[in-house]
Amino acid sequence: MTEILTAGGSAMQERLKIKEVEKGDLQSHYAFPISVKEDICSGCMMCIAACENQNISFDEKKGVVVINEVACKGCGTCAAICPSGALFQRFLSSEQIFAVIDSDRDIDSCDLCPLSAMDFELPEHKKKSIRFVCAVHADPFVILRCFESGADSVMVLNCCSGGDRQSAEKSVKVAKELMETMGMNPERVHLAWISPLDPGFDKEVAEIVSSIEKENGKDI
Amino acid sequence: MEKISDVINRTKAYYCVDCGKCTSACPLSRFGDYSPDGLVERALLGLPIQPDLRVWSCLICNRCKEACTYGVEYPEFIRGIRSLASKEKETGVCAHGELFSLMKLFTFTHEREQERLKWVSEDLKVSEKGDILYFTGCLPYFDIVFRDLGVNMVEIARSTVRILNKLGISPVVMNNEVCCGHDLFWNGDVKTFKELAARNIQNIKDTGAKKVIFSCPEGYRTFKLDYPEFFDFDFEVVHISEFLSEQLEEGKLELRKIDEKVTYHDSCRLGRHLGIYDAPRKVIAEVTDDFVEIASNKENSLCCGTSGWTNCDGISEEIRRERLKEGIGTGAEIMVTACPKCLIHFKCHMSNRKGEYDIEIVPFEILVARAMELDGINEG
Repeated sequence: MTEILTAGGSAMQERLKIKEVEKGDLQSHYAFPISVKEDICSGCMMCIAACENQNISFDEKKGVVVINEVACKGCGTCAAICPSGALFQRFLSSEQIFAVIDSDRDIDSCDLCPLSAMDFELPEHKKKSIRFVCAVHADPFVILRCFESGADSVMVLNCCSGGDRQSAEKSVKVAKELMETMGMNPERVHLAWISPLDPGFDKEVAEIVSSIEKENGKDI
Repeated sequence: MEKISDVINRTKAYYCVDCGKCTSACPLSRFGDYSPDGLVERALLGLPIQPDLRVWSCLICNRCKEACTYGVEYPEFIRGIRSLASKEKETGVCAHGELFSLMKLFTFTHEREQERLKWVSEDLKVSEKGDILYFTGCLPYFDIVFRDLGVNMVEIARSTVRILNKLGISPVVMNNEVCCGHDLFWNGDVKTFKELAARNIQNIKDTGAKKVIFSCPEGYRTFKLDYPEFFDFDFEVVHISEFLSEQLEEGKLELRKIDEKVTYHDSCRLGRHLGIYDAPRKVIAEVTDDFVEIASNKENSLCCGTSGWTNCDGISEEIRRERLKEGIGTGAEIMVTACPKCLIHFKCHMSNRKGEYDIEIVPFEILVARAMELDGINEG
């Protein structure tokens, strides 16, 4: 079984663009801003450094971070790196993601986001795709968790590039290193930068899948 | 299957008179509304306590156990409740889940050849069979996950081996060593814990080792107190600080003095859990003339704020802040800790508040290696 983690970043952006203010920072690109669970937030401020749009500030009095929900683009970077699980994104909490990973149901991203609809013509491979808003959400935990629930390989696909690209690359690198030390074939994780909207997407994914299958044959 | 009444009986929770001593000692209750006796009372009254997230906040730091005059085994009580809760698929908020996934992946049926010994550099002498074994624990994995914090975790392992080499010992290190299961055990996953334990014990027996040296207090605690409950084995387990203080008594260990002022942070596992307070102090006293006790020391030591990677929240950060402030309050330049996790937690807290804390956290093994002029031989 191949699990495919997709980030429907830019596609989401187009679909859910509600209103764009021409000047200034107030943009509502995405529908789901992040919220802070104040009783859990440790005030470690990692999210402040991570937020590309500088929408997070620190409330000295309460000792927790505050998110400017109007300006938040909902990219999920902060929620992905939060060590305490205090930042919460609707429909994309870790529990929900893991429930998807563990479930037998094949959730294509088309269930959730029509524009990043992925229709693989790969009937011989059982696959499961899990959508994140942003590829940073594919942290080592999520990747390894997929293996824990029995996946043969994990593909992290992303369509946009930017700061999140770096952190996704880093997570995949950490996951690969951990797997290598663990004695697993690191080739079982694949990171690719292709958008489902790109022409030739199906072909590329098919190529990746078959190369992973080949590697797996060697590994197991 | 164990029921909540069994947990109460096993841990003598029925002796609890709700006197509140534990709450006054609990590090969590200083900053939040956590209360050990509150949870026990709820259990005794038959009220539901499992869905309470606070069950997962307990640090298992044993301060409540020290304070309790009635002998209630509170840490064990919490472990019992957690293992009941985890059967119902409830968990705490986990900060570094990839490590848990790793632990579980270890138990998957087909045997994998790990590559965990990459840290063994050329200047280190290790062997495959022998009397003395060094259990590295999670250090090679921590090194990958926490590299960004600037903690060189494998350097702890290298220092330990260098010290042992200098003493004429070429320790056995195992490539098929697996996680000791401490975090899983205390988060209620006894099944996986037992599988890991069985594997470790078998692997150690295969090397023929008679003495197993630990640099990690958690691994040491698990081998010393938890493994014997489930398995029989005849090798001796010892912490590196105990081993070095023995060597010191026999006059085999030569240490050079360093100039810095040093203080020592007692980790919960080595201190309150196992009662090892003097061995590390004895070694540190040989390393520096300027040793100063931190305000809360030995059995009153404060915790680093999180255990088992669970529920790292605002309260944890407050606990860390308090402990680091205490450390700075001694005027020491170096705070020594024997626990790799304490090191990670303090460094994490400090790295997000650059310039706020003017103290260096140094692992015990690295300090000793420095005093033996063994550090930095192969850095980078």
